[in-house]
Amino acid sequence: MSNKGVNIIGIGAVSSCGAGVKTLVEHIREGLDSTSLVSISPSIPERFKVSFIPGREEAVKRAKTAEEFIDAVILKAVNEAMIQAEADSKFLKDCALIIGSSGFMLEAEIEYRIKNLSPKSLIGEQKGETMPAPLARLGAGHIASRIARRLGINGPVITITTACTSSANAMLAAGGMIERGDIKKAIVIGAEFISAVTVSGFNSLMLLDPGGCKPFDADRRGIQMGEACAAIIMEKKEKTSKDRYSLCGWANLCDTHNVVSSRLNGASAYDVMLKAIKQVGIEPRDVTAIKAHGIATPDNDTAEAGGISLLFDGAAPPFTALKGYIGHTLGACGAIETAAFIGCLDAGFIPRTFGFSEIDPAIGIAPLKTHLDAKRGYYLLNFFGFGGNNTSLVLRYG
Amino acid sequence: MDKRKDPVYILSASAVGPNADATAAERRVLKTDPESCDFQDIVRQLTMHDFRRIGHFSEISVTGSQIAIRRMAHPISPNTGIYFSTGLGEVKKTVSMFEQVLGHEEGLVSPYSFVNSVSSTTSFYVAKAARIESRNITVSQEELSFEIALRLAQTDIEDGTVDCALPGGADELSHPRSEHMRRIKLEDRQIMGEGSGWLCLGKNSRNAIGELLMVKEIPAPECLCRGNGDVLSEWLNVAADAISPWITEHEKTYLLPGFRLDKKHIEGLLNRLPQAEIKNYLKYCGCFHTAAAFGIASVFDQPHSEPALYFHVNSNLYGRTMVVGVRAFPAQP
Repeated sequence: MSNKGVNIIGIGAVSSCGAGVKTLVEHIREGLDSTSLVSISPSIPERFKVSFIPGREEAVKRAKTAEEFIDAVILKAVNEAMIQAEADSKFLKDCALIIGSSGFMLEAEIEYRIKNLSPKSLIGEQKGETMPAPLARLGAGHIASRIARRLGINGPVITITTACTSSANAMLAAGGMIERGDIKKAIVIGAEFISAVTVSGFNSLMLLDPGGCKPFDADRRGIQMGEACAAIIMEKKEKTSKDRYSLCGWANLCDTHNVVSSRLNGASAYDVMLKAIKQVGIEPRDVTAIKAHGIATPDNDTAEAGGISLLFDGAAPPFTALKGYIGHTLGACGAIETAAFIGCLDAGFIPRTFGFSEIDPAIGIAPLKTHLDAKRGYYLLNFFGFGGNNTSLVLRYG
Repeated sequence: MDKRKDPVYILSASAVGPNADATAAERRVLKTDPESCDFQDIVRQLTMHDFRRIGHFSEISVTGSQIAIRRMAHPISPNTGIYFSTGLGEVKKTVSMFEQVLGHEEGLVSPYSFVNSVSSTTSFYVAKAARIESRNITVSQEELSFEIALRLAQTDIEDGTVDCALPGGADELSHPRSEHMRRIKLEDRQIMGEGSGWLCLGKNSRNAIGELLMVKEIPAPECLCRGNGDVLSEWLNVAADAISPWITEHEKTYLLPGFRLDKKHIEGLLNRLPQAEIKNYLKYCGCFHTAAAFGIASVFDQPHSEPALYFHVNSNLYGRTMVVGVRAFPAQP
């Protein structure tokens, strides 16, 4: 096995399945449904399946500010990862903090709603203001600066915002910086909170499936929105007992075909997967299994499956998708799906594709319908996003 | 001195200001907050594409990147990474989207507003216009966004991940000022601005106009001050230590202060670095999170007759500071 890459020594997660990687893995093992049915707008009668973090509505109400809710979720995931990594506050001092998110719209939305609803603003300013309140949409980076200060992190603080590949690219950036020796360790956080604005946007593009996500299925109709936060602690590769999981290859490429969809023939997906595999110095036949992006829109699953078929020349390894369990968590999916996948491998299985039932003849390949036993090897993790932003990571287990 | 493995050369640069100014002759000193210029025709001319549905923010970005690419002496390599940075991203389309969805009518967002507000959209259009399908990363880290993107670009070139890099930064302003101030906190005397700045970087020195010397971070004051030391003086020591090893007798040295750097930090630095002169680029572009990109790229507005050193220094509201050093080469005869 290649000795390239960086170790993953701690993972933490908060998702629609609840807090903790263990809870998430149990949901996946049992195939439990963690979705809620919600209405998007008074003008749309149809209700949509959405994967909310449990208790988020009460937590948002209870929180005096939007940041209180957001920070609590992020810190919960970080804490779990730190416990697993046996990391303390000293460990954090020279750590890098790299957050991947599509932009923290919920924070702006909560403020907007609070200010519109109540002149006695809950965020403690602009008292007596009448509506409409001005929108204070701070840039995505302020959350990372705030979290770094709360955690006492003095290393580099970076926010990557490349839509649905944000936290996958955060891992890629961390991997590169650690491998080059710029930093010794990093906490990568993927965080995304559902905003009405984002849901409305996906609906306007007709990309939502009211019935939930059915990756690679003949009857797939689109996305099931999700929210989650995951933390992944990475450090320089050393031969230690923690050396069970490592990120050993990565690639990011931009498909300029269309801002919202990939080349249907799979060429772009093929290119990025091949580049990641080549970085490790392995061949496609060395890949044990694939965690597909599996967004469940007709075009993007066709493109991804096309890329897989091209790369493996008709002999694709087992592949699966996780968005049926936790929804599409946009910028967080890189981190949360990596954490979920590692959690499943740790529990001894490669998860089946929740939501998939019938093969699509146009695709010609089917994802896993039952859990498989996990084994040592190289796993390819795909993340594709708007803006043609495609990222593949290679995870080594064992 | 933070000597890197191999030199990273600046092959071209472009800085686009609020009045669509892209050359020294076009620069105008801003007296008040500028209005946004219409870039649609410029984008069409530069790209030969009809990007009519993209927002103003993407237009500024595409314009800057295209000018930088056109100023290169050679065609851009297909293995060029794009390292885009922004503090606030697409402001106007995002605000309009919030009003569509959360306003009195609680309606639905228009697909184009939504797509334009997505964080990877602008770098997609930059890549599409440049016909580049290589690495494409967007960084958003408030006042230090461009510096971080530049550092990622520098290290990716150094380790061979990409042959060349196109790091850039852009932000747009919005009116009224009072509302924009909720997104970027400025003092009353500071003019709000917008624009974009881009550098084409590579390892080959042929036709290079300059060299990227360093991108260095200075930690926040609480990390600098060990014991009972004076925070300002400790900061000045560290900042001057980062810059002074590069200074030579035969090169003029300029300090480019970012918009968060206050008077006492600027004056303190000038005291420590008596050879340095101030170059105030902010008077042309105004204040915005990625003004550093404009400032550093505008160093190359005109060919240099002699080599010169430029050091951009800026901090964020949390007290972190980043220093970027570039050397401008004299123009080749």
